[in-house]
Amino acid sequence: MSLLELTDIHFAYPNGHSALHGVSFALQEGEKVGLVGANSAGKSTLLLHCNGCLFPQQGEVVLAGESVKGTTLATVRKITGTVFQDTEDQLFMPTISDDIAFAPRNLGLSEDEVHKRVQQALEAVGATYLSERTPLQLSGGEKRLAAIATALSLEPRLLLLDEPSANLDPKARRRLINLLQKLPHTMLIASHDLDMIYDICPRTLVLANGTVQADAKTVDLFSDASSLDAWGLELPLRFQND
Amino acid sequence: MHMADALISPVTGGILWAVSAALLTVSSQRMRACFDSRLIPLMGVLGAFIFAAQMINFTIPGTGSSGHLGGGLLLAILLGPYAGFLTITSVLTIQALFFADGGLLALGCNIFNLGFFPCFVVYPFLYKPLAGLSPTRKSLSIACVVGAIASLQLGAFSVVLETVASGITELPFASFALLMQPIHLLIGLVEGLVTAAVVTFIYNARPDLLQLSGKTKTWSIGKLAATFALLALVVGGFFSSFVSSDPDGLEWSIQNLTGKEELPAPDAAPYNTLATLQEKTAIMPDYAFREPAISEEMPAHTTPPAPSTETSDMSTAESTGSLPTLDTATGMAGLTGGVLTLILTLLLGFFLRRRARHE
Amino acid sequence: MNSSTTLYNLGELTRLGSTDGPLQRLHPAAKLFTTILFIVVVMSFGRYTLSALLPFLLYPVVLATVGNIPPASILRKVALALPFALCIGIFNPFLDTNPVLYIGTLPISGGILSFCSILFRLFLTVSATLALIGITGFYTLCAFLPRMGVPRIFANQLLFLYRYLFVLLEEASRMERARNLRTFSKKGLGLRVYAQLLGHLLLRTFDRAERIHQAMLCRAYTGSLPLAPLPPFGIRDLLFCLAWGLFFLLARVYDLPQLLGHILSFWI
Repeated sequence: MSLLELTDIHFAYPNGHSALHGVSFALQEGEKVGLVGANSAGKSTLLLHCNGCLFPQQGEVVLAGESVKGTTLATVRKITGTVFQDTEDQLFMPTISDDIAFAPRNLGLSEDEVHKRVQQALEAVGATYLSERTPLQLSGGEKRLAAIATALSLEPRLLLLDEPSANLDPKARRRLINLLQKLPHTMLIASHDLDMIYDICPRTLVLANGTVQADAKTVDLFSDASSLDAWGLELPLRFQND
Repeated sequence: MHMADALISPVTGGILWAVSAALLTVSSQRMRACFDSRLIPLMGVLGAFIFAAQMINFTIPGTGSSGHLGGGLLLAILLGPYAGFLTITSVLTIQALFFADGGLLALGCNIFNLGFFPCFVVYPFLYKPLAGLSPTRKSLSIACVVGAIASLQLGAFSVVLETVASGITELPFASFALLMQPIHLLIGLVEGLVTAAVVTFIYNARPDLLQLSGKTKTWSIGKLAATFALLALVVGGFFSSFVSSDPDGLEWSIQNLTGKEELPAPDAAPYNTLATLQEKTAIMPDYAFREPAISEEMPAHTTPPAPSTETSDMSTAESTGSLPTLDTATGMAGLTGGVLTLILTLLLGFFLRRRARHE
Repeated sequence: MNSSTTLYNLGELTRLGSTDGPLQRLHPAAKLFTTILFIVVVMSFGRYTLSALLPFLLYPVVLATVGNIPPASILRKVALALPFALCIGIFNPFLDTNPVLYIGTLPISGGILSFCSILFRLFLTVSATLALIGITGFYTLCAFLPRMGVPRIFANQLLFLYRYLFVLLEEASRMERARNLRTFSKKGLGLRVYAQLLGHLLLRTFDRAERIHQAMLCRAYTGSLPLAPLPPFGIRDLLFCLAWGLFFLLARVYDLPQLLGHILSFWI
């Protein structure tokens, strides 16, 4: 049984903009999958369907055997951890440890358990020194690590990441790539950073015009310059000098 | 026009603190009744928006000066009166704590002046009826401008009353009001224009964001006038009791708490000669020597409560005129002692700082 | 004051609030109540009081020095608070010209005395409040508010306001810079552009609120912000309140500098 399965998802925003029409794919437990596509191809909208922030107007999202709808939201959100594109939106609590503790405390865990989860999440991203800082004192890279830790403290099975490498300097980006490679979670990573996707995800989905245009091995997809161009993308930098 | 702690008496500050706290509680209860979890972050960021918006200036044509956005009315328009009131309260709290704009004691006054009037008076009774059930650009603009001017006029008048009731300034009520109201007419006009421009911008771009639903009932002009008249009477009657007798805030409270006009004055004899040390320590050494002097005069002013401001001015002048003067020795003692106290305090400060550095 | 200085001022006090020290470790309730008591006592003096107020300087001075708050940062902010009090107080020397005491042969009028009193009290109250924030930190204060009976809705959104103040100030200053770089001889600085700019910022702010709410929902948000539990109110906190309370009482009842002056003249 796959961990996440989307069947024929259709979605249009209230202003009439149709974002998704007929998206289907499945993710197996432990898989790391890239989600690429030009601006406004519907990547973020798709991610929001996977954690129940948006519901499809047609079609079904099934997560760990349960259909994602209003009544199953509590379970859905215990299984998924989301890292949003703008870390400022995600780090809203006074200190980083408060922020990482946000979900565990909401789940009603004991203070001891909360503390343990905060420590584990910070260790997992290798940033225990951030614990008592405020979001204002963090660099862009540190904010990203902290944001990932806030998702990890839920102990999710599926990690959804929206543009995780945006606005990072080269060192911070490399550190992020190493971290995501190491983490054991099932991942769906939406990004324009094809080089990063290439490093992390063996499999990639290409989204264009609200549908999945391709679902294949990353190596195969990223060497096909003409198709990438048609989807509004280009060859990853590492292939451009060949 | 944020009131500062240094301008109000504890009694005035305390009363308005109580009023504002009650408003805060009621607003929170109303919000809890139909709680929407979206509102918490929305209120927070909109409060931050007001703050940020106030930092950007624009040039007022024809003058060299610049204006900016005031918050209360816009927040009421965007969030409704209850959430709007809570948000403007938090904006004022942060201004008081971090920017020395207002103060802890004056916070109640500022919440009342800048939050209560726009959210609970102007928004329901003036803005809503003027904007109408199906607002147009024009009706929205008029409602914003009139609303902002009314908010500021009420707020400024309230500042005048609070200041005069506190008795810290010598400024007579009438001239203070004459000074404040016209200035705030101009400020109100500018704020109104900005609010109108922003609200119509939002109306064009995202009309769904404005609290336009006709849920809150609108009021007829007759009812409106009656409400305002009643409000004016209550507020005027309440404050005139302070203004006419013009005692210091603390005296007023003592008067009310003990039923006496003054704490039993330990020794009413003025410092005419350099008395012995024991005698000095027995006296409550306020400079406010006028206190005993006033308490003798007070019945004359308070028994027929002076209704008009002219009489209150006269009473101020009289009591000022009857101030006993202090002799040179007392003045010198105060000066040398004061200088010494300052030096001691600062020395202690330096000492503590050095110790803190060594640790 | 423009947005970058505002940001700087905010950031400075926030940094101070997150440092460690003996005063920082005290319970927020102890510091808040003592400071409120301080302000109430300072403002309870008659309008001509000056010398009796001087000992109260001790409180902000001790908070600032032990709390390691640079005096310059407090003085700067006091200067910002000055104009309104000046505007209202400046009339006193003109309206109240009766001499109330003589220093040597120099007569001091009641108005001058009360004017100086207003300014000194402004200094006392403002510096005490700033020192309070500097040694307490805003978050700790917010965490304590619900215990004091402040509605949770209010306390929670106050936290959000403070958090996003920095983000929005930066956003606003970027927009302002973008506008100013493209305005020439005051064209474009007017109300029309200003309103458009604010309108866009406002729309983006609504979007941001939406995104934050989503991020909260994704992490099992149920309607109130869970904060770390505060430490209990200990004996040190009680001592802090009592010691200062006693000092305020003493300084309220006795004009200490006056006494000091008399003792001096007695000796001489």
